[in-house]
Amino acid sequence: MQNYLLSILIFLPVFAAFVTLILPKNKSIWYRYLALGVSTIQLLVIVMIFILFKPSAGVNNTDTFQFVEKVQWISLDLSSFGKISAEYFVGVDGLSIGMVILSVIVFFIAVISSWKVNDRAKGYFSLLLILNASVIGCFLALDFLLFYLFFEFMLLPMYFLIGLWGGPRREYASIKFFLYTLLGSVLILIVMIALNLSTINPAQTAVEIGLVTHTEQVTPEVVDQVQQLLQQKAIDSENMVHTFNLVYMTDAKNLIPESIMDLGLTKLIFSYPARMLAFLLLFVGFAIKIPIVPLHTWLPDAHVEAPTAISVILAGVLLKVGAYGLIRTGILIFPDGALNYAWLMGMLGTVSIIYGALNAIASKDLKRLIAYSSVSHMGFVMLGIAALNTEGVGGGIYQMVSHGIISSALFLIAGVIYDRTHNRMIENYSGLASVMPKYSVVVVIFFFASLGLPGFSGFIAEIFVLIGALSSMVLPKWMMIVATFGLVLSAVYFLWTIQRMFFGKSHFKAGIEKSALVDITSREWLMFVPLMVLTVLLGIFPNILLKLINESVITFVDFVNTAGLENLKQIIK
Amino acid sequence: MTQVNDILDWNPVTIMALLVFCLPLLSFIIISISKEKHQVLMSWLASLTMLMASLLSIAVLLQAWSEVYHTKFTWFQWAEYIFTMGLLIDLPAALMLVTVNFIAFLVHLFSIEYMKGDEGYKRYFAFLGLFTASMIGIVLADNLLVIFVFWELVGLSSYLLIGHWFSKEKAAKAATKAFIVNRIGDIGFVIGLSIIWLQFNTFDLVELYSLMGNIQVADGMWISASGSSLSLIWLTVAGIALFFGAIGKSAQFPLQIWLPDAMEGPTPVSALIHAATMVAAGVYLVARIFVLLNIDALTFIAFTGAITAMMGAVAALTQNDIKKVLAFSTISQLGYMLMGMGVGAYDAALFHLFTHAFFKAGLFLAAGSIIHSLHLSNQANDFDAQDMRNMGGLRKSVPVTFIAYVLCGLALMGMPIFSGFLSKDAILLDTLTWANAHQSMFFYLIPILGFGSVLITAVYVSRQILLVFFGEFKGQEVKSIKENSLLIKGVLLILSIMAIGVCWSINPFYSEMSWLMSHIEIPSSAFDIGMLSASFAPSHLMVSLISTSLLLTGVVFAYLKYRPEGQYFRNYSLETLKPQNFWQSLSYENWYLDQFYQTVFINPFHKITSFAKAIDTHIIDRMVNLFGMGSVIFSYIVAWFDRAFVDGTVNAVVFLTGRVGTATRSIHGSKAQSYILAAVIGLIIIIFLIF
Repeated sequence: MQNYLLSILIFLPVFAAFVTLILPKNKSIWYRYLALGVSTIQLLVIVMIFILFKPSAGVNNTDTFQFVEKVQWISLDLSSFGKISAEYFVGVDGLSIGMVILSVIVFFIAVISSWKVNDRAKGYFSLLLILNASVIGCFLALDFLLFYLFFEFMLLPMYFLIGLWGGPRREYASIKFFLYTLLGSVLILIVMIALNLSTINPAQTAVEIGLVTHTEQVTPEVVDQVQQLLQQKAIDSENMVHTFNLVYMTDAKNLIPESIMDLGLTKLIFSYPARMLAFLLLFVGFAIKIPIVPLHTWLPDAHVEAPTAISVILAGVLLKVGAYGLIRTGILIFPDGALNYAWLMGMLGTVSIIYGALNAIASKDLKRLIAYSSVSHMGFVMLGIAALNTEGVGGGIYQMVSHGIISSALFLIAGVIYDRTHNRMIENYSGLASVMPKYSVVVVIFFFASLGLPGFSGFIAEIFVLIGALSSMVLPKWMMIVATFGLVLSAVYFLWTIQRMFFGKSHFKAGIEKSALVDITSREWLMFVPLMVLTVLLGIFPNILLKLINESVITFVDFVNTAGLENLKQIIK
Repeated sequence: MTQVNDILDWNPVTIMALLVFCLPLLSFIIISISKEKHQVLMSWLASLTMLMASLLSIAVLLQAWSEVYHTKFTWFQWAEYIFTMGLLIDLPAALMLVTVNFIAFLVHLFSIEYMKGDEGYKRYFAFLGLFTASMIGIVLADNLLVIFVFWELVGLSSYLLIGHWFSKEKAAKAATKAFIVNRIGDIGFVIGLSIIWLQFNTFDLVELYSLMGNIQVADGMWISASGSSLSLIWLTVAGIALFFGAIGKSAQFPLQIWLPDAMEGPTPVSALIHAATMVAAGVYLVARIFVLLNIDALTFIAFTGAITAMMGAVAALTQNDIKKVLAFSTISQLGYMLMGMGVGAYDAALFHLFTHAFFKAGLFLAAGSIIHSLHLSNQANDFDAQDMRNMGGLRKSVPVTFIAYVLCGLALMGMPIFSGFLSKDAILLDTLTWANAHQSMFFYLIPILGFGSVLITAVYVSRQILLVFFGEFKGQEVKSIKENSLLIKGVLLILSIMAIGVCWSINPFYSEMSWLMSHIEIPSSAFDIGMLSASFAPSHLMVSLISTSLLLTGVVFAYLKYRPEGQYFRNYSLETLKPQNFWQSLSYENWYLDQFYQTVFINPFHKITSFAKAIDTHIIDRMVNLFGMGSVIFSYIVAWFDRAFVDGTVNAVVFLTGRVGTATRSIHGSKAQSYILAAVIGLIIIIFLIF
């Protein structure tokens, strides 16, 4: 069974979604328990993976990925053009394991948070399950086509979940979300096709040209041989097996000479080297999802309109898909582009940190404020990754996990107050601390966690991103200095909110009844406590996560810097 | 390249110190989970834990008297780097440990009485524990990153305690302000940390000490032993940046604005956090990183300290709130300490930190005792028990508090035979030496500011004592004012004994005889500041005479101006709200710093946030929407084109075919069924052909 753990993670929710569709309509309670059951099994599976996972690199080496499943999926013979192969290829390494664990946890919380959804529950829960599968699939896929399929498929449930179960402006928000993300997907699609045209699968090509009879006989020597033949242009184009394999794509030796992504021949598109342009396309495509200023305006709208559980998923995991995709595809396949445009990534990251925070301060709606704080905190992810050293990249990944946990809690916090009063305007509340003392404790804890107080996970992440940004070889030092102001700004918007909403004498405007303000229920505690425990654990014992990701981060940084430099030399030559 | 980081084992001293750290933390956890009905019991228990911690810390001090203890263990591994944390106990740390614990213990005791009946009683004691633990963390940590961790936690507990009465608007604002201003200082701390990391790849203080000993400076480059080289300016930047953290926490110019507002917290909190311990953390940090500071950074520190000492003292002159006088006085005294650090008077500055911690805690608790008594006598809502205009003549009703206040006040002024005299003179002596070593008269500014502040300190302390304790009571009295219980009196008594010089030095006129000064060693820095002190040694006696005569001048001046029979005293009432002239306003408004920041930073800042919002909605989002609308319009055009031309052509073809069909239909006659049959068979054939 150990060999199928990842497939269980992906396909269990798909199966459950179908079951939900078959279940009779009047048994709406079943849907919840089914979804909860799926999440519980996923939790058990992820605990098994966590225990069985041995720190190993992954990144650009197929052999060091774990729980790998690899099945031929699509094989097309295009005669003179060669063959196209796509695989069902999933596996985890240090870059993805944190994301997978995070997704499972966040979906578990989201199911509990959806417990009170009675409106068209059948559709809601089946969409939630499909979303679950596609997000996890995205983090596990090691084949670009598979990744893209999951990546695209997330849009559909998200679109309906916001558009059908959302707030007053749900249609606008959901269409905006859909179109924005679709635009990003198109850019990614273009690069994916270009990459497929330019990369071969050395193992399958070896079979085609008759070096071996079966892919299982392929040894590293054979791969070397194929790569040499390829670079000597000794392989006929009809024997080439074009691949979507993300791991093969990281190796520049698998690039077909004179293809569009080839290093040696610098194809210029709009007077830009094709590879640089491809990196930028991927960057923009994923930057929309992260989101990076100025491509972020879908996020506040989507959050404000989305139901609580969907906001939790959106902030908790969906944004991470963007950053993860950038790492897994953009930077690893185009390390040259990453080195060349690190300043751009760093600058946009820094701009996001400051700009997001400024907008958060100006927000009057609690949920909008939290949404902008997400923009600001995801800016730290971008800045850390752009630093391209272990401190920065590790900090970026740490921040992804940490932000996933903390922002989930923050949106739940906004949900608690919205559930009771259907009013999220900060100015309408004052002195909540004396009316809802337990809720206030939760708010203070998570607000401080989010503003990077030591003892919580956000601190470790942010401090390392900042240290990494300053010691980075590719980023100018002013970026780090500007980014530190984000620490002050986050304190400003969170503490100002506490001061306005929770401190002071208790009085409420806009017809909010004091009697409606019931303190946190046990179901809500059930959501907050695990998140609280996680953020504190990761804040005090960072090794829990670090021991999983360290090896991969080192390999990643090493690979990007060496391969990137080599590739750049060839391009410039 | 895995870094070799030897782990240092535990020894009895570090284990004891760890226990000292754990005890208040335990108190925090136990009180947090305990039931509200047990809160009084819990507060006694908390005091007891603090007593145990104090005793343990004295044991640690005895061990650490002549030896340094260091224990560290791995915290986490970040990629190839190992991060450790641990305890580094040298003499300053051990002394600090005793001071923090002992004052925390007294404050706990005092609070039992002071906070009686408060609705946040339980919460208050829990947070006191959290604060004490975090503060001990700063004191003991052997590592800049870990220091920063506790540094922030101290900020959090200070926020929670200032905002204890959160339903009061002012308290809520003061708490927010304190945290945010501290965070501004933390920007510097983080930048400093990052530069240290960039150059040395370690945060461990002991390693840094030895690495700093091996650095070389050549051609304006700062080269570490590992060969990493940076422009020398970064060393200065690192020092000043780390010091900027201290500026925030120790309420130095230009960030001192948060401390006066922090007086909204309960008075024992002010005594513990905003007088004796947390604000001293900045000074302590400078002591911990002393070897990282080069001469430029130290000069910067000296000037910041001296300017703050003067600014704080001037601002204390005209305040009406009994606690605000003390707050400004704290700012001023912290300025002294940092000025001392800056001129290389490492030992004297630390000495002043310790003496100040005791006499200032004494003053604050005495003020708390007065406030408590007044509050019990008049609980009307509009009665401000902190306003000195509601006081006067209190020496008769609260005699013990009066004595404590005077003793601690004399120590604050720096009167001979009191503790403050010893430490302040030691600092002043070194400022003179330092100024003399510099070839420029400009550097004499520092001793001048230092001596000037002595004069002003004497004036404001005397003013406060005269206004509060002499003459006749001015406030409205409902019940007669009574001295507080034995608990409060006992605490005050202990602190006032500590204000007497003999406790600190066998010869209370001569600071070199102090047991403390003679044991603290000035850390050797790569940048020799020792050379400065060698050239000239001003006579200690002369310094003492100058400062004492300045002090006496101040006292006499204050007596003439503020004596009960004088005009000022008679006019001093709630009605005289406004300061008389510009200079008084300048002092009363704390140099208009708040107003300055409001106009120069905060108002423009709000504009910037609204501007950012406007950009977001009116430019970025507008563009997105326009793009969306544009594509919809474009698709309408395409659709119309489709209908009019493409469809039109098709329709025309269909129409023509139809006409032709009609024309030819008559030839075949209408056999619809056979047509359908033919079509279906045709379809099946096509399907077979395709698959």
